[in-house]
Amino acid sequence: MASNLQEQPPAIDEEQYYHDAQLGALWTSSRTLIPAVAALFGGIYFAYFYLRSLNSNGMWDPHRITASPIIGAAIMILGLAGMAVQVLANRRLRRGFTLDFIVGSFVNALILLIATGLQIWMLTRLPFPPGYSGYSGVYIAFAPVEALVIFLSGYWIFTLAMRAVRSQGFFRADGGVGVSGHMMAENFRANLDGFTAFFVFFALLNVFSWYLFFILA
Amino acid sequence: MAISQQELAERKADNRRRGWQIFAIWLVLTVITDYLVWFVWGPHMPPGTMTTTAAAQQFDFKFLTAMVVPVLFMVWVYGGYVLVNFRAKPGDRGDGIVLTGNRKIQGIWYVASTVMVLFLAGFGTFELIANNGIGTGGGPSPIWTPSAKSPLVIQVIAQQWRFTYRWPQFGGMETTSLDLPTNTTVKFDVTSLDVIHDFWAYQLGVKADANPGVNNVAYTTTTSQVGRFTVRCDELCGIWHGAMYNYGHVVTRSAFYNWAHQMQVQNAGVTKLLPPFSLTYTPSYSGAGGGYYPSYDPNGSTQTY
Amino acid sequence: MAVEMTPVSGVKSPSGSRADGLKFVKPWFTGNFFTALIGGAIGYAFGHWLGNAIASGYTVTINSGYNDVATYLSLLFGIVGWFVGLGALNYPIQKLLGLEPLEPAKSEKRTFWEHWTYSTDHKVVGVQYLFGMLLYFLVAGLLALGIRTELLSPTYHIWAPETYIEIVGEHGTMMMMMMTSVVMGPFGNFLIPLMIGSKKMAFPRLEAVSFWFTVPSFLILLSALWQGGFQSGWTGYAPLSIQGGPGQSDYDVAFMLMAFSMILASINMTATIINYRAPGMRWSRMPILAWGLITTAFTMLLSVPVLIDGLYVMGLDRAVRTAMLYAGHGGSSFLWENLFWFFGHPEVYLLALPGFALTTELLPVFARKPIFAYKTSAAGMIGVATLSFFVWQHHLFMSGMNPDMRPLFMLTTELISIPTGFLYLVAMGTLWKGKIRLEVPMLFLLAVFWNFLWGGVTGVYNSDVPVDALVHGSFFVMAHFHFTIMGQLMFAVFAGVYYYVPLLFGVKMNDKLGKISFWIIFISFNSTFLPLFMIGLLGQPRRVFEYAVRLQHLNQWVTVSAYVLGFGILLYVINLVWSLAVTRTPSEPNPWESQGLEWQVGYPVPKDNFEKIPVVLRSPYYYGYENPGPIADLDPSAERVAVVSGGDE
Repeated sequence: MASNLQEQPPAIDEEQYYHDAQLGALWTSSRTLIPAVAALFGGIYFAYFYLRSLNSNGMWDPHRITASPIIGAAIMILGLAGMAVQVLANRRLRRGFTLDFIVGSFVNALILLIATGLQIWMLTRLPFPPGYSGYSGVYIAFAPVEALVIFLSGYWIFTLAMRAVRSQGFFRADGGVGVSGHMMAENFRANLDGFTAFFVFFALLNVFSWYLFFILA
Repeated sequence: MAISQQELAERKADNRRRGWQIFAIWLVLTVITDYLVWFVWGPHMPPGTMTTTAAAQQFDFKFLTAMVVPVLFMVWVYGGYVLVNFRAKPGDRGDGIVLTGNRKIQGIWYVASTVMVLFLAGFGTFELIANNGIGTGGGPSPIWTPSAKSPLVIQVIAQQWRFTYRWPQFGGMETTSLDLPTNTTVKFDVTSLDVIHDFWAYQLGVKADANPGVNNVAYTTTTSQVGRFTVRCDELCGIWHGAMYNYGHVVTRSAFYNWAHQMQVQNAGVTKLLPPFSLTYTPSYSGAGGGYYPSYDPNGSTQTY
Repeated sequence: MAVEMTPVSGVKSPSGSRADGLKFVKPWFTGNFFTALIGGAIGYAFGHWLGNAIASGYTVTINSGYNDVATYLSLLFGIVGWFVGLGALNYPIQKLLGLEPLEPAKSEKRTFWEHWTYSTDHKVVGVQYLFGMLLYFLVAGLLALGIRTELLSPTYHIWAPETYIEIVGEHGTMMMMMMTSVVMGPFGNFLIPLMIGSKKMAFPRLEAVSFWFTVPSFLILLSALWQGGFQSGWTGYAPLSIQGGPGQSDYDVAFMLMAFSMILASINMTATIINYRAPGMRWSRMPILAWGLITTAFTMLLSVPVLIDGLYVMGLDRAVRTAMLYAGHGGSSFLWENLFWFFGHPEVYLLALPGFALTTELLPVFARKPIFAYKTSAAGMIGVATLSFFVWQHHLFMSGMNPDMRPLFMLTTELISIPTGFLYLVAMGTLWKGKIRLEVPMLFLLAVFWNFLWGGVTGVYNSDVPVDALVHGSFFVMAHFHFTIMGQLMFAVFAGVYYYVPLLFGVKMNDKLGKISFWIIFISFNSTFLPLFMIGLLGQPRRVFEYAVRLQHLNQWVTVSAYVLGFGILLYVINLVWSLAVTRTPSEPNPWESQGLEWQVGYPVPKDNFEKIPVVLRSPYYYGYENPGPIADLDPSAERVAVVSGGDE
């Protein structure tokens, strides 16, 4: 029996099986991340709408002072720009232009880093003290979470870009990591797809946040 | 799997026989227990009948208990029966029958539980509305209010760790004790000066959270019963939460008015110093307990700190 | 979270043609509990210094006598230090360099030392979780005895009032936050791959991190005890929680860490159950425990982020003086109640569902029958999880918040009894004409149904607004949720531990001692908590240290019962530890004659669980069938794979 085991090749290609499972897991987890992050921001939006509609003692935003609308808009636009760059970069990757993808992703990572910096800088020059009004509290709650999620998105795309840099030589013969049928390339693309899905969601969420905090106020 | 037609018929007959046995035991026990619950225990159930809301709460508690008894016995009788009859004999390592479902039983279960739940929700809603909020806090402007034209208004002011009462109909006086007249509709305006408390007048069947900056209104109507009632804080409010209680009395109308007028005269000096009566109080913008928020004028120009 | 999203396990460099720069980089440093403690201490000290450097000059700091900013920063940096010391950050840093490290190899036989390290082996993590959770449970249980001791007398006080409130808050918080993982942690991590026929979890690093979040969470929460504790209980209602001292910050941070642990574990659990099932493991064949855990995981993913928001809002109000929870400056204390209970109600189902899943999983083994109405059971759990998001206001019936919405929330709350009832239907049907074996785990399982019946029917009282007017905030509610959580979840865990010890450790617990401890626990549990319903009805509010003198006898009865209960649990634990450490009576490979796939691999569980990917042929509950055939083909042939994968989907 034991010798039989040795001779027969396994009926299931285990490597392929767990490779497929891993691709599925990446899909599942990146997509479950979207509702989880939505719930995270949802709690803050809930606080926003709740306090705004209660308007206790008329103190929601008595003088309609918001955080700097220029920086707020800049962060929102940077997010959209990052999304555009990333979508273009992904398209180039699928056509085999790995270098374009790498450049695009680094640009996106840089954009996100700048957005993070802007968000933190903005916190240091708010036109109100924290306990000034309901709005001020909710904005101060929102900003660090926003900065953190932007930063982590930047980290995520940076790791992907670095992976593409490292594997560039390896996949050159295959036509680049965006085209190769190699397992690692598939894995890379699944990861990138997960990031893109999340990031598109997040950039759109940013537009909503911007609308809440600077237009609707 | 491989069961003959005859075996199947036998099993069915056996199931039916056992089902009736369980049903019979269940029925007897349920009827006896429900009788005891309703007529023996029922009149003594908390929180008594000092007010209309307390009596209503007592009735609802009794009603739910009577509803719950059959459910309890269903599980107990069934469980006991099964454990007695279907225990593996010592040394028997065999398996039970193959039974992966029974559409009829499942269907009955789904329908019965749904009907029961919907009925209970409907009953609860009816009782809540019919009793004008049944003594619970109904927010600043309750939608279910008693028909009485001018209820006795008492403002309950909770703070760490005591209750005081303000009487707008008696010159806005403030007392530390609470007396109520018989046969009167009472409106409690419950609020807090600091953290969240809960005004629970147990025998009155009144319970309402005392939120800072919020007026929470609860209604009840006293009956002709006189006697003492307990007021406790029912929401954790800090280290002395356990000691935040006092007592009140329901007394005859004449005794109540004597007491109230006497208190009004006695407290006149203090009443002058109190802030004017209002539905909520905000101790001061710098915080009740000593400057939690920096003292900048929130309506004027800001200053950072 | 985003940092961990990249693949780790599926990547293998093809032999011979290694990619430049994609080389396997072995972690150069295996972190463990002790290095993590050192790292945590350094981080803590640094954060404290930083906080003092930043904020010691603020007026609010000078006035208040302590520095909130320093408290939060020291905890924050302490956690970073903890994970640096653990070596958990090596991986994200390597990713930053574009490296793709493979997970470290698993060892053939688990060693004792391994359980102190940052291990990514799901079996090690499962055992770590098991003992971690037991420890947390025992510590919190000890605190409960402290509470009962104080309640021996209405007038004579063992503890000072502030100590009493501290103990109450610690007990509640520790139980409610830690026990969310008491099934998903040990049983989920250890058994789910075995049950679904997988060699691994989807994200082993997430799994390891999810456990190592619980340890600092526990330590920080415990440390609140000697920092003045927190007086606001586990519900942390504002503005009371805003008044609190450093202990309240500990509550904040500890709860938040546990929240992260739950989210990470859930992501891992959903990804694993959805994607890593063996061929032939269809949804209709999946063990009911897997159904329960995936339902729980989805519930966590949607509810726990809101808890993080709530804690974060409280932290900001405390540390930087925002005013989101203070009406005077435009906030509202209702905001916390909403955020907290939006998580808090799903949370009690996060506790209850795994307990039910585990119970339903084990019941057929001892009834020797297939699960009755399998689909109903899965539907029941999904139904409970879904409805749990629509009931949170029933905690606030007396609050005066949205009073006219109460009939709606009364309806949704009572609707939950329908899917909960399904689970009773399943259990009762499963027992019908079985050959019930009353072994120790089965005793605990039957007790689950006895206990939860009390918890369930009293839940109807709580959900009914008119009756809630009487019982809200009283000991009645307290008894209710102890019956549903301790009486259900913890009894299921006791059954599960007893049942799975042979698989986890290859030893059997002492049956005689097991039976004795069961009867002590069961009787004293009921004798503790049934009178509490009465005490509550007679007007004793929760969390008080002074109560009506007429209730003294009842309270003393309860306290003595609680001591006996503590003794019973101690006996159970002694039995466990004694069997593991001293007697080590070897167990047969499958002592309960279970048909579950997890029992087919034998002890010790091989390092990759299965030699080959098994092909699952049928449901694990074919008891009573004449020729059930094997549950899975552990050495599948090519034809069989073709047949099964053809029939899949």
